[in-house]
Amino acid sequence: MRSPSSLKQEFLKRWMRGLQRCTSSKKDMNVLERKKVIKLSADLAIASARNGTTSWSRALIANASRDNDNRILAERILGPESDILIKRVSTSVGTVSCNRKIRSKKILKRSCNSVRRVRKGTHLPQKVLAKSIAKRLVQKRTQILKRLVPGGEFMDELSLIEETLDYIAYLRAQVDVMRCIASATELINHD
Amino acid sequence: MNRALPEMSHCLNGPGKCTDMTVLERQRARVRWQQSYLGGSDFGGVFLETSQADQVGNFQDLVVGGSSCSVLDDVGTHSVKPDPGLENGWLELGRLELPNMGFGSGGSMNGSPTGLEMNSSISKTSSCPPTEAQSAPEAKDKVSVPAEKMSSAAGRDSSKKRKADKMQNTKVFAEDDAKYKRSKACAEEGESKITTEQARIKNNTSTPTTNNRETSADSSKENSKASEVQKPDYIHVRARRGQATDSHSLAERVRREKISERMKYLQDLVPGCNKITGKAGMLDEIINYVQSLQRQVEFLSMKLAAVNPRLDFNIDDLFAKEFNPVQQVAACCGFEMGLNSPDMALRRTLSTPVSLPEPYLDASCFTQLQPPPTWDADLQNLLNLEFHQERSISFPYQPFTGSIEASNLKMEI
Repeated sequence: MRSPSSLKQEFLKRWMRGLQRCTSSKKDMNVLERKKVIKLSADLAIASARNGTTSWSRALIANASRDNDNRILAERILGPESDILIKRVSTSVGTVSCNRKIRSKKILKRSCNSVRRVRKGTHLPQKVLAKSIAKRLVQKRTQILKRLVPGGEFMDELSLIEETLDYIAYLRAQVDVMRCIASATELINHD
Repeated sequence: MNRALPEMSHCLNGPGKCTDMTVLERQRARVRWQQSYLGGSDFGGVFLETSQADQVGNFQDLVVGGSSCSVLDDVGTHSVKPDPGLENGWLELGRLELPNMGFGSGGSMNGSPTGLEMNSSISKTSSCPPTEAQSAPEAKDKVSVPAEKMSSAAGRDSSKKRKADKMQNTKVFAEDDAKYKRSKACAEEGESKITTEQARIKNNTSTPTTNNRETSADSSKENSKASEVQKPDYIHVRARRGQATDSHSLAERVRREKISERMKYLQDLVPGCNKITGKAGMLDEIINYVQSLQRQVEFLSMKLAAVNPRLDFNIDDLFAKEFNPVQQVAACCGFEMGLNSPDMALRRTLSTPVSLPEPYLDASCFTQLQPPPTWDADLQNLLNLEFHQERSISFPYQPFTGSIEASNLKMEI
């Protein structure tokens, strides 16, 4: 695991660079636009910091470049390395979409089976019941987690947990950096 | 094994004419030959059964005893030679086995025998399960030719080998070690075990899977640990005592252990997860944490957008101009982290605002710089907050998020 300070440094550097690239073109933006730009540049900064090694970073970039209007912005933010990065992302996303169909079918089958099982099993011993309940709880929660982590819907449990670990580390770094800059600018502004 | 080679080749050359002999004659020849060769070996008793009714039994004994002989390197006699008659019948089998023998689950037992060696180690092959799928049907075909009982015995043996194929195809070689142990135990304990095994084998020729289960049951009975063969692509798993040793459960256990390991990492990362043990509860905490972090990012980006009308984050640039860039970034991050020595961070941050007023006087946003003490106090609050757990930090933000999100909604509408 990378040290948090180096992660933050990296993130900060890329974020600022991306923001600079972005603001150089447009002059007037309202708050929402600015917010979007800030968030987008932050996301892309950390995603590019990962260099496409993790799945969630790839998914982030893919999501960003999906909408056309975002795409130009994203490309500009990413700068000269954007081509390579986007290519890499698109290749990986292609496979993901293939997996998507397979996995969605699997999910359908599984859900059907589980429904059937529930209806059939009436008199189960308590232990088995408790186990099945616990299993279902865990399944529900993994579903939610899959929705939260970008690109997590098509991963098995093991890789999902790994991605979550990485993603949490990233989110933490992002939050810390943004909070500090926000507070610093606030303080300076109010002086 | 090498020692046995010249002897093997010798005995090969000997009964070269045996192909014409009937089974009975072969049996007799074998017994005579055995007695002459294996006089002093430990397994002499095993092979001295001469009753014809026990032909097959003898065959099994020979096979099993031979296997055990091959297994136990300590027993100096690698002199379990296949009997001449059998040998011819098995020669073809041996040649078939040849390319497939290679290493195997009992890899320690045999190297990769070639040509002649193969024939010599025919008796050993029975305990060496890894044969490829092709060999088994071929072997069966050829073996079924000579004699009924031979063929049945061979069939049984090839069914064992077929079993071995299946075992090889699965990723766990529990059964091999089980057989290893079983044959070892046989050798040590003598006939009784062998006969019981024969009975078991006779009973279970139908489904290889049941045999697998049996052997796994054996292994669990004998408290054996199953270990994986040295194959490059496979995961090495060790089955614990008293636990199922079939491949599915082992693979599942590996998976489960991996998951629990990762969950432990997550426990360290997510604050407040130390007290929770169950998977579901921990997942709950993780979900809450990720959601809160994401909301914080949203809120902070909104705040930054609101605070900077022109999106000019010139702080870092300014810092870079004034100070050493590397140092500055480090200082910024030291300030941000707040986990390192607080005094240092405080001092660094105290030093920076001194230079700030000058460039910012030019900016239109503000006029006066607050005196250091208030900056000091605010900074200290911030740093103190950061020293504590994330949770405590998130609390003061929640009212913010509430209000800001509400305002967001208003604006968006």
